[in-house]
Amino acid sequence: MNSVMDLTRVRSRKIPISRSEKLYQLAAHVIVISVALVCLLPCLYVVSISITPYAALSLEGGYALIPKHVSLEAYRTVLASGEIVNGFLVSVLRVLVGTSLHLAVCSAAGYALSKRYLPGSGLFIKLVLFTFLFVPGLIPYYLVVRSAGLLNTFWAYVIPSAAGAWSIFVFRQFFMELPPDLEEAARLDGATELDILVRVILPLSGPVYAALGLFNAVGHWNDYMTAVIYVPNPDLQPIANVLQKVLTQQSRVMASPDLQLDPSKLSISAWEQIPSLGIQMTVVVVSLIPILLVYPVLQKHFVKGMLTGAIKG
Amino acid sequence: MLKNRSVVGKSSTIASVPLCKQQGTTHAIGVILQKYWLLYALFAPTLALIIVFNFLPNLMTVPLVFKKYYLLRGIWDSPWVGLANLEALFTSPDFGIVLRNTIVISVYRLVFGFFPPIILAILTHDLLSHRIKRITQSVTYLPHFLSWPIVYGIVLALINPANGVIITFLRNMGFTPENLLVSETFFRPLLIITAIWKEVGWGAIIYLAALAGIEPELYEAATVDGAEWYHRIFYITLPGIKPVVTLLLTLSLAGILSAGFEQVYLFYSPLTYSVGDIIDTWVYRRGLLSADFGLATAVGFFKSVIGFLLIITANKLAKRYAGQGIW
Repeated sequence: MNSVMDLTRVRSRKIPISRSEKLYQLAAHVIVISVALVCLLPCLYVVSISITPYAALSLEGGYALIPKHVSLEAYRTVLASGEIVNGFLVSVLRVLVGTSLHLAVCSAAGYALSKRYLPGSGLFIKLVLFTFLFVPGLIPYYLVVRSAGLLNTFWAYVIPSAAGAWSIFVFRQFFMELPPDLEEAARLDGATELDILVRVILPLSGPVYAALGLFNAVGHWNDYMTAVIYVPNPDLQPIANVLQKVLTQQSRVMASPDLQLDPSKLSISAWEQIPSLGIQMTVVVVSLIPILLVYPVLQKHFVKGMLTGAIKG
Repeated sequence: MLKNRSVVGKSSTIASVPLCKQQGTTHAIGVILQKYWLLYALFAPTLALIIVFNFLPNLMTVPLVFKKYYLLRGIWDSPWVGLANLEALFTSPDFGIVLRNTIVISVYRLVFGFFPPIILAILTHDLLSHRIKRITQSVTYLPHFLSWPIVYGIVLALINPANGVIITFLRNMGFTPENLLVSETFFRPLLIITAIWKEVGWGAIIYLAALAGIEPELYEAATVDGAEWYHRIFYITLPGIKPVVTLLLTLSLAGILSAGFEQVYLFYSPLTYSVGDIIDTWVYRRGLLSADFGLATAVGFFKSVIGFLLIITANKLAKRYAGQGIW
């Protein structure tokens, strides 16, 4: 709270601060900091569960936010599991291929649509808007993915989501805001359209690629519905789905017939058939690490990215 | 297409000055293609993807709704059955439950989830300490970037019936809590609370941006005139973000039939179907797991039509009350 008081003093040089104003500052700080703690502490708790040794559990009577004993046993178990390592690799591959494809397709479309003089560009923009309004239902979409031969292949992750209206409009907006003089100067020097795109426009477009790329990468990393619906192949499960499986094994225990009749029969012993909480939380942490690694960079970009999306109108 | 010529003239780029006038249409198309081939080629992949993954499934909806679809016969050879699928939909006992769950969950999300980001944004905006402002913002955005399976993992850590920290705490206090993960009474609150937890910081960003646009002089003048914090909130801050609030509120109307497929699919179980089964999860189970394509498409079609009407209405309302829409 120290810094609050400092600033209060700075302000008070100009205008005296009333009692109610101080109380409001105090309350605002308490509330905002509490919200931040509520967001942060559960994540830290998950980490501490993952490093609490199983043996220490019965001694201490439960998990603590700061564990007394630390062990990386759960991590060894998890990393020795072929399924989890495979899931991690599938996700990494999916992020790399899916994000590159998405950026290539959407930036190309955004560039074409940024040229208002292109005959037909008005119609194209309407087509892209159409996809906002008419979202196809699950079943016809599934049948299309199926007849395109994508079902149960890696490509189901990356091809149907390659074009996205939001990214296209953000790219379009960005290209439209580039000063037209650059392009004209290059044209006077005899550059072709392709030269202009590759030598003038692309070198200037790093930030927008980085911002949209990060968003898309996080989306690919976090998405689990695509695999549930289109890719049942166990060898192609991304880490999010491996995590889902590890976490929801208890629903399978609970969905057993006698429990359906009498839910109270779910005893603590039923929980013992499930991977221990320590293992589950370790998988949570493993799938969380890449997000935490890109988070600082992400944060720098996302406010801008989100606002561009909001303003594009 | 030809009317774009006038735009061409205005755009003042040398290559775009029309080279030929008063030529035959075929010739004009040839010239246009020759001149703009690169731009058309750049748009082509998107066009192909839109046709295959948007137009095609949208077109297929009609035969699927009015046919009895057999996977092996394909869409052409499956027999027409008229309104049978739609009849089955409206007489199905599930449909009422599923529709009600969808709307109730969406309305709860709106009622309980709409205001926390606004309150958080106002309080954050008013913080005098910039360091705390920055740090708390970084922390509250974080959950938005976590996947639903990760959030579900966190939920397990907190309330699993064996050793969840909240359950253990309640037990130590002398309560005997039920298994909250499969509780019918707690299912909807669990959805709403976790969704608020995940999105409150992220949702605040847009309001913070609107707040940053308010002239600081207004606050200074008000303070000089002796305005207290509640005066400032009611007379400066709230009027300042009113357009954004109105816009987002009307637009959220459009999503009323989408109650959060990813989240519900992960959180629900047969024990909570009665309160948690929504249109999307039901279509998934009925259509893909039980291969009842006609009925499931009919439900999806119903959802799309209502969703379309809602988004049109929302846009009209947004234009009327917030002065701007989505298009």
